[in-house]
Amino acid sequence: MSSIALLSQHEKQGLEIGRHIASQLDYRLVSMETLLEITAEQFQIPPADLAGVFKTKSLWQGRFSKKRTKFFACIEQQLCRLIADDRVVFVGYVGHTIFQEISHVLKVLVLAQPSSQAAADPTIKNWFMSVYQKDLEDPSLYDLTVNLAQLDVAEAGNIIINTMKHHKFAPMTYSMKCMCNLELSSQIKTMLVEDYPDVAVKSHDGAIYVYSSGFNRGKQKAALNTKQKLLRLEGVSHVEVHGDKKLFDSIACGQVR
Amino acid sequence: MKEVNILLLDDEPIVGQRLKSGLVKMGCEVETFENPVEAMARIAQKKFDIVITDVMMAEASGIQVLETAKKLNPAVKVIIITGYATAELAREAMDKGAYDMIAKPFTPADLRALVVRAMQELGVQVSAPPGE
Repeated sequence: MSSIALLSQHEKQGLEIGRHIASQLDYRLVSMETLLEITAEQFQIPPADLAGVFKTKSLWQGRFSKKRTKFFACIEQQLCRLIADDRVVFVGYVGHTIFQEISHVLKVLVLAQPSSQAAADPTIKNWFMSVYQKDLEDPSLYDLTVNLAQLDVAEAGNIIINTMKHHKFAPMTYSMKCMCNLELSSQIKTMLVEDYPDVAVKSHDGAIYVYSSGFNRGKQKAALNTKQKLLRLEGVSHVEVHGDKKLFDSIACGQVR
Repeated sequence: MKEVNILLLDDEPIVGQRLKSGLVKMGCEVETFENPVEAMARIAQKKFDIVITDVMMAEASGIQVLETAKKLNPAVKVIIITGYATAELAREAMDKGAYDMIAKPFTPADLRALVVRAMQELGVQVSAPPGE
């Protein structure tokens, strides 16, 4: 089944819409808070440390902050796991970019009711820009933008439900495989990110392509060790380790983790 | 068992050859084409249950084949096979009535599994395809 990734300028309004959708479709509602709780438990990270990724500027400033990249990789991996389970409505501010290539995940932006005078939290906006180099309120990132100026929560939720029922958002073999690939890529990124903070991973049906500047020429041992480590993973049949970003970028798997 | 008619279109002859034998073993009647214009002409003459088509071809795109097939027979199951899969293409194909889409490279068994599902939805009961 399809899933929904919803980002709301006003978190409470977004959650109300998410609750409405979940109850109408018998979907699981996953809030940002729930995602962080599950991630903290799964990866044995103190919840406050994990939440700090978004709140503490020093953690997300500096492109290759090790702590940030590790925690963030864990959060994204957990979100991929949840979305891969299907029938999920996620309300939060990660995921909208990583699921761009997953056609059965409907990406929704909800603009706040004017009376709430709520634009997106500037800290989150800055964080989003820092991590994804994109404006989180850019409508081109989403499949649907819903303005609560003239709609109540139920009306907005019903518009999203009706949009999602469209055949173009239905899962298919290709999109389900993309989701499996993304899940595996995110798992591998979490494994490697502490040692290689600039790591990027692509997967295609068990073939894994990994990039890090840490695998540049002269570091063959690191590349070989990584390759051997990944080949032991279930579902991995082929591994390529690259220190050349241009070459890595030319591998078209439709996703980068 | 009702005979299932399949039209298989790919401009690379090896793809049609490779996929046809497995489908025939499943009891399907399969016609292969390399030219989309010829395939569309055949679709206009004969009612196929399943159309399997590539997308990027010189004479016409697989999306045109999909539209033609659905227009002439809304019940037809059209399976898109492509080496240029994107989310945009996936949504366009589904929007225009595709049954499913699978990215190349895939194994003949992957395609057979899809065809089995399509056949079951057409009311044809089949056992697991060879090689499963």
